[in-house]
Amino acid sequence: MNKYIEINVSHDFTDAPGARNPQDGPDSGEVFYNRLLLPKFEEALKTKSILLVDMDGTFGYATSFISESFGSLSMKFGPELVLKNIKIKSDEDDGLKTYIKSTIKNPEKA
Amino acid sequence: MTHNENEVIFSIQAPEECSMIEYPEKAISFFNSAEKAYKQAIQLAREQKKTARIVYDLSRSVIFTETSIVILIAHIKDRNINRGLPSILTFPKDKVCEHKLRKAGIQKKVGASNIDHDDAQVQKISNLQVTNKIAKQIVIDSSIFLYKKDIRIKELYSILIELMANTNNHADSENTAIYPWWLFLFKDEKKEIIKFVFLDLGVGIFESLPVKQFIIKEPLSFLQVKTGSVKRRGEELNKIFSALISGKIKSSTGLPTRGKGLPLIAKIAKSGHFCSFKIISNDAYIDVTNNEVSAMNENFSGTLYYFELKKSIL
Repeated sequence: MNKYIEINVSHDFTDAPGARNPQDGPDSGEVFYNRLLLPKFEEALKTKSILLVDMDGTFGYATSFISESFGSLSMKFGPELVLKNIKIKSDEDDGLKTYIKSTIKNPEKA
Repeated sequence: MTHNENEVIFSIQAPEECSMIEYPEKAISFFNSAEKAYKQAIQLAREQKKTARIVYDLSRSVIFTETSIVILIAHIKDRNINRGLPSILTFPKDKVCEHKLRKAGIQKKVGASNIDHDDAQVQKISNLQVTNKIAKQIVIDSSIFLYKKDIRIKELYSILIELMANTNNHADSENTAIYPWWLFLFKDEKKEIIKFVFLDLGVGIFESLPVKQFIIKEPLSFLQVKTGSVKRRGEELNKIFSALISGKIKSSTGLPTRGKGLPLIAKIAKSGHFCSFKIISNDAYIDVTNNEVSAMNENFSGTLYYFELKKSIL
C-alpha cells in the first residue's frame, strides 16, 4: 500500500493563489514551489511515498501559478519521475487536474 | 486652445456618444486628443512660462458609458498621461449622463491626487502588482451581490489574476510595468449583472514584443497588415488573436513556459458566467464571446477588457 504525504494548498499555503513570481505579487507559484512543493516532493522521494496535492478549496488558479510550480518541478526531476510520485486531487475542477498533468508532461510547452 | 495672462488652457470636446463598446472609434479619438493635449500643453507652458490645464468638455455628451469613465479617470489620475497637469471637467448638459458620471465618483475639479466616489455600487482599484487578496474580495462581493451568498466563482478569480499578471507581461521583459492597471466594477441591480472594466495602458496586445516577433516570422501576408484595408486588417488581427489564444504566441519574456494567460481568459469568457466579453487593444476590437475580431480606424494605446458577470446556474 502506498504511503502519502499531503499538501493541501488552501490549508497549507493560501486559498487565494497569486501569479508566477514574488515580483508579480504575493503567494506566487514560485513561493509555493520553494516553500512546499519542492521540499515535500523530495521528502516523498526519500520516504518512497506519493505526494498528494489537494488543489480544492481555493478561489482558483492562474496558469502562471501552475506552470511556475508544477512546471519547475517537472523541469528539475523530469516528467516521468514526477508523474510517478505525485497525485493531484481536484474534485472541484477536473480540467485543472488535466492541465497540471499536461504541464508536468510538457513543462516547456506549459 | 485658449490663453490668459498666466495660463494655457486646452479644451477637448467629448463626442455625444462616448463609449468604448458601442462607439469605440469616437471614444478613442477623444482620448487620443486628450493625451496629445497634455503633451502640447506642458510644452507650451514651459516655453511661455505659464501654468497649464486641460478641460474635458463633456457638455454635449448624452452617452458616457462605464468604459469611457474608467479611461477618463485613468487619464486624470495617471501622471504618465497627464504629466502632472490639472484637469477640469465640464459636465454634460444631459441630466441622466451627468448623474451617471457623478455616481461613478467624478467630481468637477479633479487633480492627480484623488477622485471620490460616493456610491457603493462602484468599486475602483488601481495597482501595479497582482493582488490576490483584492481578487478574492471581489469574488466574495460579487457572489454576495448576485447569489446572496459567499460562492467561490473560480472563473472570475482566475480571470482577475490573469489580467493583473498580463499587465506586467505585456511590458518589455527587461522592465517592470510603468503603467498601473485599473479595475472598476459597476453593479447593476436591475439587470442583476456586474460590469467589469479592466484597463491596462501599456503598449497593447498587438503592439507587444511577442506579437511583433510573431509577425516577422510569419509569411509575407502579415507584413502587409498596416497597408491593407480595414477588412483585410481585421482578417489579419483575427489570425493573430487566434494564434494568441491557442498559445502559439508566447509572452514577452521569451520563456517557453509563459503566454498561457490569454488562452485561459478566452476559454473562461465562454464558460457561461459572462454575458458579454470584449477586448479593445490597439486597432483591434474583439468580441471574445462570439469569436469576432474586427479592425478599427483608430488606435487605442493599451488594452481594455470589458465583461459582464451574470447570475448563472451553478
